[in-house]
Amino acid sequence: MPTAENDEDAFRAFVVARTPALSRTAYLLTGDAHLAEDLVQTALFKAARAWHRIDGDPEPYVRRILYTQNVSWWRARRVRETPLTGYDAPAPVGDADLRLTLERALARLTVRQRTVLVLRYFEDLTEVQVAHVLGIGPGTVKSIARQALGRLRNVAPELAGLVGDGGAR
Amino acid sequence: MSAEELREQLARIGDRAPVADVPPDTWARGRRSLRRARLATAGAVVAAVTVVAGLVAWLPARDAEPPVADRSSLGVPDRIELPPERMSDRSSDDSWTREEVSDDLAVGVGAAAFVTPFGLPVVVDAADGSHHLLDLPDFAGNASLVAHGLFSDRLALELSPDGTRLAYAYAEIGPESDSAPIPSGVRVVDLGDGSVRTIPVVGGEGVVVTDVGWSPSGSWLVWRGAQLSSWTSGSMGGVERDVAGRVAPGAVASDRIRLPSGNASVTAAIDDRGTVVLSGDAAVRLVFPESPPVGVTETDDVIVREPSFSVHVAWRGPVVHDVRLTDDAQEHVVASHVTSPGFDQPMEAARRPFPFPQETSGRPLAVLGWVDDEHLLVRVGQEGEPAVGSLGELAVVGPGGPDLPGTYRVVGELDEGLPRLSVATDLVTVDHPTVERPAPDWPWSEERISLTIGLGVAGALSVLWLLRRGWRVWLARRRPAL
Repeated sequence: MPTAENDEDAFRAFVVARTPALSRTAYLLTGDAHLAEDLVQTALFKAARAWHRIDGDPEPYVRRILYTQNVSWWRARRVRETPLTGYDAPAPVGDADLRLTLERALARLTVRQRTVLVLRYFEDLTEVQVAHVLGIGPGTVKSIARQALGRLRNVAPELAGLVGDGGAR
Repeated sequence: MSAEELREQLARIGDRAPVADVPPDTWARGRRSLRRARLATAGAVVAAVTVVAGLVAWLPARDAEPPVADRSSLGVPDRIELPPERMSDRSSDDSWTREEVSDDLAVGVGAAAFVTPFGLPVVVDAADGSHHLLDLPDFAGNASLVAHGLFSDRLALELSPDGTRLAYAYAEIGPESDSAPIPSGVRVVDLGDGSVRTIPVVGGEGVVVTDVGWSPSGSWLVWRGAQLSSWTSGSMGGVERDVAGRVAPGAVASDRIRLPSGNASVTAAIDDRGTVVLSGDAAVRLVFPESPPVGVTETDDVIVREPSFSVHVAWRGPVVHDVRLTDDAQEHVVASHVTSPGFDQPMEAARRPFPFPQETSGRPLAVLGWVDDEHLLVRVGQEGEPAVGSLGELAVVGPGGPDLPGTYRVVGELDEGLPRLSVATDLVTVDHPTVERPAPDWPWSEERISLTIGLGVAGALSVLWLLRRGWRVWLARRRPAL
């Protein structure tokens, strides 16, 4: 029978085991180490609150908080956000490192585009699952993913090979 | 490149991410937050239930008819309240603005009457305990100047012993008041049919009647007041002299009677034949009527030898019961002044101690009337409090003795600040001194209405919030795991 002490032990074990993986996703979602840390801390805090209601593996629950919290923060911040200057202008050429180029290009996406991209291609969720997690329609997910890939190509033409002409396959 | 290559590059970026530092107290903070949320939820539920239950309980009560009492159940309510101050609101011309203040004077039998500190007369219904706020024609307190001036807490308003009539001080303050004496005196309202009898009192620039006493059957009246040397619509001058008079049954004129001189305070009472007793601290005077016609014949004053002053005087049959307090305020005595059939015979005075029971020791006290020959109805305050407006206990007291503790029965509760009170003493008996009545149902203040609406809205929002939360929890549980 689960007790409060067992729950706490289980939570601590989960934190130790899964924080690195959660941190990776958070970093990809936010593109900022501090925001990523805040995101992970917030998700784990909410998980601790709701631990008694989590049935089975807590990871899907915590990850869902991670995704939705990031979008919530973006919604809260977006009124203050200013459009990026030269939003679709190519990134400086000459960066041979594909990873750095991709990272810089990701920073030029909107939060929704970036989130969809991370969920689709890093978390390996289907369009239906992404739609469910983000509370939007599968068609919208498809559309956002296409826009995101197109924008990556625009800001970093050298990624064309990575993201393909019509989208990653 | 394919999606696989994109995933690989994303993983490379992710691998560079620093591992988040998770504070060790995350679990503890999460659980504390959960407990707070549960408490808040419980509080919201309680608030919502309270508001809903309060509204449910209140709404039928507003529609309920007041209890109907037959004449045999008339009585003095066991709780008399001072109306909220907003009930005494006036317009710029001094008229009462609240619709609860009525000029319909046919309110039935009154159990008690008083004037609020703002000059508004109140009659407490003997049948159902409701508090009637009355717009008495030309009541002296209808003028703010009088209500808040020299005689602010001394304007006469007196119920007859059976509660069927109400005598009050009137003053017709109008455009001529600045150039002519103000018509003033005593008016008597028949509370059964609302008719009003006017007994003018002439003297100086007007007379403010401060005290009225009824004979035991309510047929005669004795009054006392102050004759003013100056009185206009905008000012009240000094007191020229204290005056008194008596009014025969049904009369519309008053006989003046002379007050005994050299007394700091005088109490007065009249019997059913028109005999007046004026009891001062230095002398007691009896004023007999001649019949017919009614006239005034006075005896010599009886010099009061014991240093004491009268706090209440009343006729009990042919005997005057004069409750006096010794000069050191330590002992109450009842001086029974026995009237003699011949006017030329000296009045006999008998003095007996009336030791009040221990419960009244050191407490301010005011006598309202006799219940029977051995018991008084009194108002009692708390020890150390000033008498004015602090006498919150209505009690029946009987004298104690060397072997008897005396009687002290609290029979009612009076609002703090309730001014001088007149009680229909015929409705009070030792066995049934007061009756239980519902508390007056004062209209809600604007603040209370606003607060209730606010709480109602908060309650409704809480319910909606709970429903939304429940709905989201239900949805979350139905959502398939990723």
